[in-house]
Amino acid sequence: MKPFAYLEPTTLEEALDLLQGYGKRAKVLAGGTDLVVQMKQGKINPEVVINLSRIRELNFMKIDSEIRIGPLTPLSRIASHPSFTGRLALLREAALAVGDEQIRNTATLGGNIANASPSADMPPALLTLGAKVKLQKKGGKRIVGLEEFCVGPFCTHLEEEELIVEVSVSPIPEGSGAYVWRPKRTAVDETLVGVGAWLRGDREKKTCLQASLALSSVAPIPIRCRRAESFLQGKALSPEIFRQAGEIAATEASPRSRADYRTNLISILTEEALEKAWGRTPS
Amino acid sequence: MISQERKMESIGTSPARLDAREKVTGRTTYGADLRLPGMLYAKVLRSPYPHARILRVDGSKVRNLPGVAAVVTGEDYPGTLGVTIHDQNFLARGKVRFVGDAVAAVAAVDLDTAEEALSLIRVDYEPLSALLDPGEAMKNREVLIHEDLAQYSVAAGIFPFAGTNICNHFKLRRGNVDRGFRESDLVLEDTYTSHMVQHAHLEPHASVAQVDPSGRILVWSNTQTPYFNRKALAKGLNLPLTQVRVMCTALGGGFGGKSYLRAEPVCVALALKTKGRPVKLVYTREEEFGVAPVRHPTMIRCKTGMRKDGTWVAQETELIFDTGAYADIGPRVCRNAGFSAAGPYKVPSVRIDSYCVYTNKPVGGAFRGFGIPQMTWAIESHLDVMAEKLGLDPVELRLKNAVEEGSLSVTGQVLHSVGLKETIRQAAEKISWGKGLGTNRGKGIACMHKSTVTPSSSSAFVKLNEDASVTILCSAVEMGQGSSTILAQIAAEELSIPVEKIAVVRPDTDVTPYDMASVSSRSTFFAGNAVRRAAADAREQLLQIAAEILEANPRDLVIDSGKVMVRGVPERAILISDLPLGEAFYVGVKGSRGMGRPVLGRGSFTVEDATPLDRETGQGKNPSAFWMYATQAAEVEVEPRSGRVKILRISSAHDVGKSIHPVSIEGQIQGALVMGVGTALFEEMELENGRVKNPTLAEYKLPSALDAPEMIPIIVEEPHSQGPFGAKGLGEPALAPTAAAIANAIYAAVGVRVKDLPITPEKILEGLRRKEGK
Repeated sequence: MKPFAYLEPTTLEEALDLLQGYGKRAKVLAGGTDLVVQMKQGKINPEVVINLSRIRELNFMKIDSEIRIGPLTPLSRIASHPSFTGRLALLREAALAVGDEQIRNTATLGGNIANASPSADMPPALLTLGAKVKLQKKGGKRIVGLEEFCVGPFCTHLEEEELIVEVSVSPIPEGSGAYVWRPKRTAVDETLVGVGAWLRGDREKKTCLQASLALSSVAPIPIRCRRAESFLQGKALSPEIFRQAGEIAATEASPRSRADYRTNLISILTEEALEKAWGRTPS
Repeated sequence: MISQERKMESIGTSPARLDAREKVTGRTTYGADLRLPGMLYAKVLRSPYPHARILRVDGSKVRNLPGVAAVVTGEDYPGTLGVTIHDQNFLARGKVRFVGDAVAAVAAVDLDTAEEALSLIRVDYEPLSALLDPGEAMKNREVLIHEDLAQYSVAAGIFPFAGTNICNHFKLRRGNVDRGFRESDLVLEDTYTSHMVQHAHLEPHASVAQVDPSGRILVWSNTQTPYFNRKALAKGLNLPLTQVRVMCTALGGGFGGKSYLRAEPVCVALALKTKGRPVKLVYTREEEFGVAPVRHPTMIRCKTGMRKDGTWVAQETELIFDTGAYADIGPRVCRNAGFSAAGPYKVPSVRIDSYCVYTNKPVGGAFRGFGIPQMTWAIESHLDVMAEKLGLDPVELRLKNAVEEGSLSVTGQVLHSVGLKETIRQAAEKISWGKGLGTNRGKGIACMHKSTVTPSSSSAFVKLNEDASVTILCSAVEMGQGSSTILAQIAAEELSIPVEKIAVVRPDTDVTPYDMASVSSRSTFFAGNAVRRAAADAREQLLQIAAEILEANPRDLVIDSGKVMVRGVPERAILISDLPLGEAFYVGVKGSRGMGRPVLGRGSFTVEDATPLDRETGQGKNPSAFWMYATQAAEVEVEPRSGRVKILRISSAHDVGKSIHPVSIEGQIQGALVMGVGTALFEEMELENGRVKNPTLAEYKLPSALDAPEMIPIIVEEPHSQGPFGAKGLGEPALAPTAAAIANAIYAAVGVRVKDLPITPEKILEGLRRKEGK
């Protein structure tokens, strides 16, 4: 690892000042689970590392009719939040898909999103909820839909001087969701395929009013499965319909390595996610 | 004299491990932690080519870089190194033979400077065609990885073919195999392959070398083989053994990977040029994968002939071990698997050919099981195929053919201490073999046997300190397997003192006496016997001193609660700590007659009737001092749509001779079993043109606690007449049968037979699709 200057701002304002000052020369560190690895491998060699983890104002969770989460919230906190059960369990499930307990204590929501790894688990779960990210730099704020935020593998809309300051779902849509995934090999491993599903259905008529599906690890960025979503809309829900939706979803992905196996897994996991989400429909 | 049978006080109990407290609290100084004043840091420039001629190495620019103390290349050290075949130098000379071969090395004030120095070294190569497939390497006579194979010095019992890439051929011929096949009702042939895996001990290889003011070479390293290393370095540098001192640091895992010379040669080469400043080399994880030894990939063809009732008539096996760029210990791995390749069974006619083949790949070395996991994978998978075709139960088929006390092995050895059948019965019973199964669930069983390196010897001193505590000096290496505690228990038992009063000195070739190596599950048996004899010797000396003071016959004395007393007369007793064990006493002091002498017990052990195996027939009456036996039975569930396997539970029954520390035994079984699960399902070194593509622990997947199945360790005791208190070894067995037990269970669950490791969901899914397609 090349030598670098290390800074630890304690307020958002201080951090934004530093970012403005150093611009391109700086890299931001949240939990470090992605950044430090890339630095060790020599893939990036920042002159300055700005550690955000002391900025307490960015570690928060507010959940009522909407969800607001600070980017420095560790994934373990998301995984154990009492609100993320039942119809909102998909956020717990996505957080639990990341690493192991120790990694989740360190890895943050903001890092998981900003690193923009194609195999990240939080983005697809949040995509199904229509999440947005609030970005801020010295003298300006903007809100971007999560879907627009990710532009390519390890590549986002974030400008050099900007930070994610909030991830929000507002309002929480009606319906219920699930996130299911399989690791590449071992229990603690990168996600081979992850599927987030959100379903708003008519419980009595057993029909789907609206569906939202997103995939991890099978395309350059987390993707929504629009064709499978529109297929589901208005359908009477049944295992057969879930199966068909899975097959459609599989055609919307573009996995690179282990492509056949991943494609097969998308079908299976989409079906599983839809069934799970439907089972969580509030009565 | 070894004491007579009596009730055991320490053997069979599980005292707290001597090293537990320091390790659990993180205070142990491992090899990688070692730091000496003025120490320099080494980095190695490694070959980017799998096979190339070195045309020129230019390190002239490095010498001007501030902070660099030494630069070495292969040309600086003509001495040869090798474990079985002297086919290596301190650094590569003339040719590089795998991606990662050491070409040059630097020592500098810090790692950053050392790395910068490497970037200034220019090497011109002429790439040569690389042999990456062992089958192709076996046949190819044009491309030779070692042109000078015929000139190399070779250890006894190893038979390389000059003019080829074959560095050993082991042959076993017994009975009449062709007639056996003719007389069989079923003859089946199949080929099983296994892959390249890494030990992946958490602590990397580390070495520090220094030339002391007198010119002696001091080497600290995390090695399992201090005495081998001393001799090899001394020979490579043409020095007497007194000029090299090897000191073991604590080891953070070994599994065979820390046997023989690893980081040491480059470290010593540099230290000889730094005017007394110590030089440290620690492998990076990438070097652990690309440079440190690996488990040999194998191709094993089994042809088996049986009668309808499952009587095993004939066996033909051909094994090909891909040993990579240098022979290392590969030829012995190939031989060991060779004479064990018919499994722990009574087979009258056997023909085995085991080949060890050079390729331009990472070097195959010693790895927990020493060829046995690969060979067990093949034969135990194949046995289940036989069982199915014959309509026999896999457990019954194994029981029918299993060796037992007095059986003749395929080399002609009369077997002793054979608990195999009991391990089969217990392993099967503990997973309710033959009883109800859910859909997509199956049970599988696999047995194993393994020899130990023979002949070999160990020695020990047992020092009785003045306060009645005891210090053991021996060169068995504690690497987490628990050998120190077991040796302390053996001494405690022999001396009738508590384990807590015993300390075990870490191996140091200037201090602790000879031990062949801490490999091959041999420490309990060999070092254990040496320590037991040394302790018995110390006891005798102690009783002699006490007898003079107590005016009694030493034969009438007993040791109890820190005292020596006359048997049956408790008032005639003296505290051991009151005996003159160091400083001598005047006449009359504490009743002595002016005597006193330190007690230093001495013991050594070897098996005296070891025989070599005949070159043509592989026959020999004692190729192994003892045999270890084990059976594992697995229950799995397969998710048929994704091909994923969930191991529900595995029982693992082991004949250990005598259990000295039951908790350590269970730990060994569980640790090896999880390692076996890793080999079977997850771990895989992926190579592209000889280069390791996944040289990190993020990409090379080891099982974690979350992947560990429910494990049921079972201890079977079939005492060995020569073992200390009847004990044999245990370090290696539990990894060997795991892959076959899982594969057999998968077959039982969904009818898919995977024949190449690792067993991935893709392979199972492909098997399921093929099955549906039929």
